[in-house]
Amino acid sequence: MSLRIENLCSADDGVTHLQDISLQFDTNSFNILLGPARSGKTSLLRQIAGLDQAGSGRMLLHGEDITRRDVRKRDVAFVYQEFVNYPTLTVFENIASPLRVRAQDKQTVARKVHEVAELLGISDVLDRHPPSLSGGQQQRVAIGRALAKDAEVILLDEPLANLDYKLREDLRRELPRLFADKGKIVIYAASDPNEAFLLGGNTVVLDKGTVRQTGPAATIFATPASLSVARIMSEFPFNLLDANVENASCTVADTISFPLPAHMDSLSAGHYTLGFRAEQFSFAALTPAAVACDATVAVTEITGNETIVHIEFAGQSCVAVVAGTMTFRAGDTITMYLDPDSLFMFDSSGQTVASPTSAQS
Amino acid sequence: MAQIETRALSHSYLPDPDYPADFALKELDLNLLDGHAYALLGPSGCGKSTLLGIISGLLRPTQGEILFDGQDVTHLNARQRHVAEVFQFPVVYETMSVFDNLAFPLKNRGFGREAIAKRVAEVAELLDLSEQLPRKSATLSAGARQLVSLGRGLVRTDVNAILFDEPLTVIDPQEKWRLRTRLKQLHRQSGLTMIYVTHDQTEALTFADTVMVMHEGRILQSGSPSELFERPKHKFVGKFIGSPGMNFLHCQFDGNAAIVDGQSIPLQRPYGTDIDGSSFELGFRPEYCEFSRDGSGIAAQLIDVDCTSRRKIAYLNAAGAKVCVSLPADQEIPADNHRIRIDPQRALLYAAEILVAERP
Repeated sequence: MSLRIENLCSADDGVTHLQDISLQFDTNSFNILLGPARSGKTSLLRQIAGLDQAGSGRMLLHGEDITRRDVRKRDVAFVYQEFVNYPTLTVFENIASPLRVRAQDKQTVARKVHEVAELLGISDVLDRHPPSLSGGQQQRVAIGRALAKDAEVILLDEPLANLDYKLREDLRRELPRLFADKGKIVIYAASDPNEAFLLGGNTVVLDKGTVRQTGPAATIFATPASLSVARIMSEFPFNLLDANVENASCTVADTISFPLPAHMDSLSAGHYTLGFRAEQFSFAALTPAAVACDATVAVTEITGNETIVHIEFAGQSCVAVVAGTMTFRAGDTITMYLDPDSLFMFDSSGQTVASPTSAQS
Repeated sequence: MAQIETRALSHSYLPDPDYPADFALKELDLNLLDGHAYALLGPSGCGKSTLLGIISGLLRPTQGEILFDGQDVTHLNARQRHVAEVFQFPVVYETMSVFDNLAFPLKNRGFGREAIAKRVAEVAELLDLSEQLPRKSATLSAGARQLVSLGRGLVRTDVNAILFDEPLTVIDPQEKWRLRTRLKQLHRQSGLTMIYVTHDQTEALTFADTVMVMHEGRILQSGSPSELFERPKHKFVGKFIGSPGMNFLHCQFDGNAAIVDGQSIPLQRPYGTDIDGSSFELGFRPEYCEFSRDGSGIAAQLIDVDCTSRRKIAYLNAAGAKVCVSLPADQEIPADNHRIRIDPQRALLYAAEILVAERP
């Protein structure tokens, strides 16, 4: 049983929102749509919900074509980034509203509302009105309505983005558990790659209205298909350097040069883009092959137990993240090390031509 | 540029405040140094926006005074205080070019063409917007529009301070990075006093020299990012800073070691002898404990494990409480018989939720 999307396209006023999207979401799955703003996440969710009409392509729920089905006849619940509740109704009535629509009897409604409230930890605020609650509680009410609706397809559009981060942490841990093994198809839009990891599901990377890669978050992280995926999947800004490959060695703008590591063996001579994550920089040579990079500090940020150092290196702005508190001043010259075994290589069209093998375990 | 002080400042949104709970901001004496970057960090409802509103002049405090460079400005409005403000949502005229947006406040004050062109060019340079000057604001990214908003406040030459109220909320994660770094560079280049309100610890810690953690209308601790991380003075600060926050386990204290679940953890620090003997807790960061591999340590039951790209977070029950252990993603978690070893050097003693200070 599944939701299948086939060659879906949508556009309005000549602006393309979605381009030839084909995806399959299985029952009992938690799926993440990961992408930056305007990548098509919300457009896709709205198509699935039936709020917008597709330009072309089909959507099949358990094999049945629902592409043109009215929004009210789709078995779909939608949770938005903004906390959308009925402000004049109590929390109880908010959660009960989808049950009332289906004219369920009083006892059943009360039982289901209490079940859902219990699950979400909002049993003690059932008599209150949403505007008097904290953001976290308000979003729980909205999620409660989605749960009470008992729809087969649950769509969540960055539901934690407007929450204080401590509440976000709590609710993020609860969400996958709330929907697990209930026969649902959950689709969750996110722009933070860590959400893809923490929500533990299948990840669909969207960019400019196109699906760039699908798979488990860890796999996409280790083997991004392209530069844009590597960037979207990176917690810190992804570092890029222009590189030249010749005679089995790699040179970056007359600053560093190293023999090609094993995973780049097959590269032919030419221009490439070298890419690596902020955590790949270190202050010590960790392997004999490590390459020393002399860089100039632009800005230092301390996050508590880590330091993020923005540096100028080989004419590019790069970011390094290291453990501990480092106090550099702007303009300081520092030496950092890169292990060639940990580097990605992209061709001129942005396709990945080499991923570090160490990351693929 | 200004040093900003508050004296016995408090604020209530109620007409006749009486009890402490009536006050959104409890009595506060602050001294914000000229040219320093501050962050006000706390959950929603902690009073941080109230304090910012009082500093900017949007709110008149119920009690107390606010001083800029020693001058009482309590009764001056926002405009008279010469503060630039940046809000969650960029405030720009979308149909105007970036240049006209930046020039607007100067035109209103009757500046001449040349003076305007010169000042706009300076501010654009500072904000890295020089190339965008002819562009229509509507075509800019959210981050660039936020810089234009900031620029509109900065073009006036008499700015005392820049106040930021959750300025990165509507910005994309990727762009957040660039803008945050830009603001930090701006602080260095301009030397202006900056106050940044946020509920996001990463933003607060990375932006500010001094972070003030607020809770229920009070500042619980004011310190550098590493002080707040390494030595939270209050249990709330320990929990609020860090992801996940600090672990706390009930313990006994014998003047030298903390005893948790029958295990002795030698703190070996010069504690005074007159410490209140009730409700001790041992606080330790998830980063400063590990799975013991030799059968020592506190027995724990593993509940589950979260993985991010760089870390594994293990959630456990130990000594009657929830404990998190953070370990590098490539490190294995033992299969069974879980025990936690706490780094005694980094563990801290709390009595009644307050850090027990060592003797100097």
